[in-house]
Amino acid sequence: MSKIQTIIRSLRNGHRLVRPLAAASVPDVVRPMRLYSSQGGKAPDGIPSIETRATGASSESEKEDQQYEEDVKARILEKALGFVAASGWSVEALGAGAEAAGYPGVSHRLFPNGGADLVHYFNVKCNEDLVTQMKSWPKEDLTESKVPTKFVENAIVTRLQMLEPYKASWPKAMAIQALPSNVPNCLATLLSLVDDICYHSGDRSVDFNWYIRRVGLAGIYKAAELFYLTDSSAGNSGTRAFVAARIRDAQLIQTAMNMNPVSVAPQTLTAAFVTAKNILGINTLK
Amino acid sequence: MMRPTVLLQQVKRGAHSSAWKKNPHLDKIIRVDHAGELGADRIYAGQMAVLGGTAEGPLIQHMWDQEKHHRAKFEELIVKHRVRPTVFMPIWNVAGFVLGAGSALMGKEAAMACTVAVETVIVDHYNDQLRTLMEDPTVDKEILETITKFRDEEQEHHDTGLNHGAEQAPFYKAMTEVIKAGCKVAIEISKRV
Repeated sequence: MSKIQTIIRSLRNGHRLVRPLAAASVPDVVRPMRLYSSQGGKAPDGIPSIETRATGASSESEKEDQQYEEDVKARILEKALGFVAASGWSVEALGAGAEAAGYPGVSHRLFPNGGADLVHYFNVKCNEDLVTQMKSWPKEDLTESKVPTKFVENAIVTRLQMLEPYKASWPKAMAIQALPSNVPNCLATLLSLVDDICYHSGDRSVDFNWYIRRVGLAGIYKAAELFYLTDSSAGNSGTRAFVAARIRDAQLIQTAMNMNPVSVAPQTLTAAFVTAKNILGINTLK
Repeated sequence: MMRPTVLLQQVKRGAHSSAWKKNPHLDKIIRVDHAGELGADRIYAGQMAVLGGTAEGPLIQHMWDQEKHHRAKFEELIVKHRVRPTVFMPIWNVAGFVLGAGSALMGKEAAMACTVAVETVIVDHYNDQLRTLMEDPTVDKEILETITKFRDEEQEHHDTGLNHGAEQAPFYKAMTEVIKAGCKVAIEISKRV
């Protein structure tokens, strides 16, 4: 394997960039890997076992083992959610969940990331719930320029309301998600959420708008999530209004982008002039 | 040290792309083919902009129409399999047109040489993909047939180019090699991002 390929591969795998450059060229040997968490670190006794694995090649029985392990994990996580209110997104909740599911409390060591794994599971579960719900919602008529505002608004608010039982501890969960080691999972769930919303709301773009819509929606969702935490209005009407306002903003930006720059030049100049006056404090409209 | 790898694998498995679940290659294949057909469409658009009025016009128009059809088909597949389109679309859009128009400005032979170079790479690329797809017994028949059909049409474009004096182009060897290298780089980039 050439050096460039090695570098590209390590870039993709997220290794440190410098190593492949600095290291002497080693022939392509299969190195034993230590695998934690879902790859197959079975830990019935609470100690993650060390498994060596040659790259690729996993037999049927290994797959079955993995499936079994995933099931056990899912059961523990499901139960652990019930203890979040008392113990937070923590190892304690996982331990209590394991005991409730009929496993020893130390089984929380199945989740080397502790609370982060619980948060991730919760996010994935909520996303799946939302997809099931969205499938049954009526599709809005879509013309080329119209945005399915109502659908998107409903989707975001529904998703936020799934946080309701954990509202008090959700700021902690957001903090956990922001830790660098948890960012990849957090981004993946966020992106899969906005991708699902876009897809089910009828977005079929295959050009760069694909990205603009999804990134915009992710921004709206995260902003709304923050707003929701401090929203004490009845039935979360405040959050709903906030989301609707943000979607309107996004539409305005889209309209502005589609305008012909020459024909709106006078408006742009007027706006710049008024802004300059405001900055200088000589606004006459006070 | 190993943890980032594990994390990324988790991320990939968590991704909700239906294509990813069925066949890990399918995601890449559809994305890169869409990008490729987009580029091809733009190359012929560039050539038509320069050579549209000449004797070669109808010939290029015919190839362009086929490429438009290819592009439409892959746009359909992207939506159907929920594949993420490549980030570099705006760049391929411009680069394709510039390549087409630029080569056409050097004369009709150069335009044909450009076609030959691009189609050579694309035919090879489609063949590689077909080989990858065939390995999977549960392969999606629609994609297999689509790629086979498009591969044959691209081969036809390649032969048309050779028949219309591609080899008489100035610096034929150097030019085709440069274009081929560029296409290969574009393919590798589009597969990934």
